[in-house]
Amino acid sequence: MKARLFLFVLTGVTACAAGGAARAQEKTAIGISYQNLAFPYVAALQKAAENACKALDVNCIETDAVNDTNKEIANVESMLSKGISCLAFEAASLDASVASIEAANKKSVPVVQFNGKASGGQYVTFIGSEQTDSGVKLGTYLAGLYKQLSKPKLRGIYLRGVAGQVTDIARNDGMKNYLQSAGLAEKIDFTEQYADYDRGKAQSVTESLLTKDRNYDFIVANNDDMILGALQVVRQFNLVGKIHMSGVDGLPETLAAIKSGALDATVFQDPEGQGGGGVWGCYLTLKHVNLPKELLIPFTLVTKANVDQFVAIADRVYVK
Amino acid sequence: MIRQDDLRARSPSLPLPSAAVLRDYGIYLALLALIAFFSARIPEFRTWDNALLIVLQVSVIGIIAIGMTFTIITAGIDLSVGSLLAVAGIMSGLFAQRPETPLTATLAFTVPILLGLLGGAVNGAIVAFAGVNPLIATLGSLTAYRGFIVWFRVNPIYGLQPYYGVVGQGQVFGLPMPVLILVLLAIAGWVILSFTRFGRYVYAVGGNREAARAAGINVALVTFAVYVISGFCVGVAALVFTSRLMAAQAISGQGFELQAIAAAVIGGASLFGGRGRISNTIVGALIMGVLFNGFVMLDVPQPIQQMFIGVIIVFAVWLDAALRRRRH
Repeated sequence: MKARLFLFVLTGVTACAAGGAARAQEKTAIGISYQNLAFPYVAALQKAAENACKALDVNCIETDAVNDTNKEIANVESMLSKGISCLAFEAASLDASVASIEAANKKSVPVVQFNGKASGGQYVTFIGSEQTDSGVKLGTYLAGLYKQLSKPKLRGIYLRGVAGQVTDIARNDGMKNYLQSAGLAEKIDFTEQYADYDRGKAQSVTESLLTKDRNYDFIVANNDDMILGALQVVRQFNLVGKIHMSGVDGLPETLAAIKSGALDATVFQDPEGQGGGGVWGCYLTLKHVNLPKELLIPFTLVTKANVDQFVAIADRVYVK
Repeated sequence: MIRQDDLRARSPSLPLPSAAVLRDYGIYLALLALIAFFSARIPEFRTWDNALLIVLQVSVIGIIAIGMTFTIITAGIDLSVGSLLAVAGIMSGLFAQRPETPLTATLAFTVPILLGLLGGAVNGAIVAFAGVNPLIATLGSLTAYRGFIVWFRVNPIYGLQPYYGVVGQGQVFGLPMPVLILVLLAIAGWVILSFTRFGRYVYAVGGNREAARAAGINVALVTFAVYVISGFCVGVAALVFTSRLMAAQAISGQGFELQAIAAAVIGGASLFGGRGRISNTIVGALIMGVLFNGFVMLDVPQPIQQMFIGVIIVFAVWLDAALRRRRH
C-alpha cells in the first residue's frame, strides 16, 4: 500500500534547519520544467514553486513546455547544460516525457517529479496527487447528494475533459468505481459529454442538454472551468439551487461560487503542496535526505462548510 | 468568369445547370437535410427555442468567419483570430470587472473592438506592406498574441458587472443579441462584397493579383483592409464571447481559427482566392452548429462528432471541386 505522507509535515519539520543552512552556502541551481503555464492551475504551481525558491534561497531556472514534448526536452537539455543540480519536472506527457527524464539521468542530475508523472526514467520521488482520488471525492459528493435528496434515482450531467487524456480517465474511473463500491451505480444516471476542460464548450454542451431536458438533479465536471461554464447556463435557465453542481480544482472563482451557494462543491487539489513540493523535493535530495518514491497529497472535498480554509491557500497562489 | 446564365443559354438540355445549382445551393440542401434528420429523431430539436440556441451557439464562430471569408477571398488567411479574441476578451473583462461608471462601461465595450482593429492592422501591415506570406504572418501573430496575453494575465477574470451581460445575454424583440449582431454583420459583409467597389476589388485581388494591379487596384491597401475587417470581427466576437460567459480567459479561443476556416470552406470559399460568399459561410457555420447541437442531444460522444465534421469538410471541398471540374 502506498504510504500517504503529507508533504507539509515533512517540510515543516525540516524547514527551520534547512533554511539557515541554505543561506550559508553558495546558491544551488534547481531547474523547473512546467507542462503548460497557460493553465491557471500550472501558473499557480509556478507561483508556489517560486515562493519555495525564495524561502529556500535557491536559484531556480524555469521553463515552460507549452504541452509540447519536443520543446520540453529542448528546455531540459538547455537547463542541464547550464549546470542545474536537480530537475523538478512536471511531465507534459505520460510516455513522451520519459526522454527528458532520461536526458537528466545521463548527466546524473537527480529528477523530482511533481503533479504530472511520466511512465519511465529514473527519478527520486514523485510529489503529487493520485488523480483517481479526485474522482473518488466527486463520487463521495454524489453519494452525499443521493442521501440528501432522498430520491430513488438521480439523473445528472457529467462533463468530461479531453477524450483519452490520462487525468480525465483517472477521474472517471475513480468516481464510477466509488459509486459501484457504494452500491450506487444503478441509482445514479449520467449523461456524459466531453467538453475539453473548456469553459465555452461546457457552456454550449450544457445549453443543448438543458434545452432538451431540464430535469437533471446534478452536474459534475472533471474540472472547475467546465463547471463554471455550466453554471452560467444554469443561471440563465434559473435553475440555481435546483441543479446541484461540483467541479474539481479549487479555483478562487469556484470557491467564491461555493461561498455564495451557486455551486455545491469542488475537489481541491493543492498547487502549493505540489508546486512548492517539487522545489522542496529537489532541495532535500541535494541535502541527502532520503525521500520515499511517492509523496501523495490528498484531494479534499470543499463545501460551504469548509470553504474558508481553502480560500487562503488559493489567494496565495492564484494571485495576479 | 462563367456565369450560370451563360451555361443555361449555351446548353439548356445538359445536366450542367443542375450541377451548378447544386454547387451554389447544395450547402443549403445539406443544412436542410441535417435539420430534417435531427427534427425527425429529437422532438426537442424542432423547437423555436432550440433554433435560436443553435444560431446563438454559432454566433461567435460565425462573426469571426465573416472576417475570415474576406481574407480567404484575397487568397489570404487569418490564423491569429483565436489568440486575438483572448487578448480583446481579457482587456474588455478588466474594465467590465470594475464598478460601473460611464467611462468603464464605454471602455469595456469599445476596447475589444479597438484591439481587434489594431491586431488586424498589425496582421494586415505585415502581409500587405512587408510582403510576408499570410499563413506565416498570422501564425506568428497567433503565437505572439497568445504569448502576450498568457504573460499578461493567466488567471481568469470573473465577477463582471451585470450590465456587461447585455451583449451576450440580452434580447431584442425576442432575439438573442449575439444572433442579431451576427445577422447585422453578415448583411454588412454581404453588402460590402456584393455591391461596393471595394468588394469587387477584394474578389479581383484574390482572383488574379497581377491583373488586379494592372487594372489600377491598390492591391496592398485592399489586402491590408481585409485583415483589419477580420480583426474588427474578432473584436466584436470577443465582446460577445466574454459577455456570454461573463468571464475572460487567456486560453479562450484556441482552435477558433480552424472552426472559422471550416465554416468558410464548407461554404465553398476557395483557399486559392477569388471565391467565397458570406451567406454560404454562415450556412457553413450553421451546419457545424446543427451537428453539434443535434449530436449532443442524441448523446453522441464528442470524438464521433469531430470525425463527422472532418468528413463533412473534406466532402464539401471534394464536391465543390468535382462540380467545378464538370462545369469547365
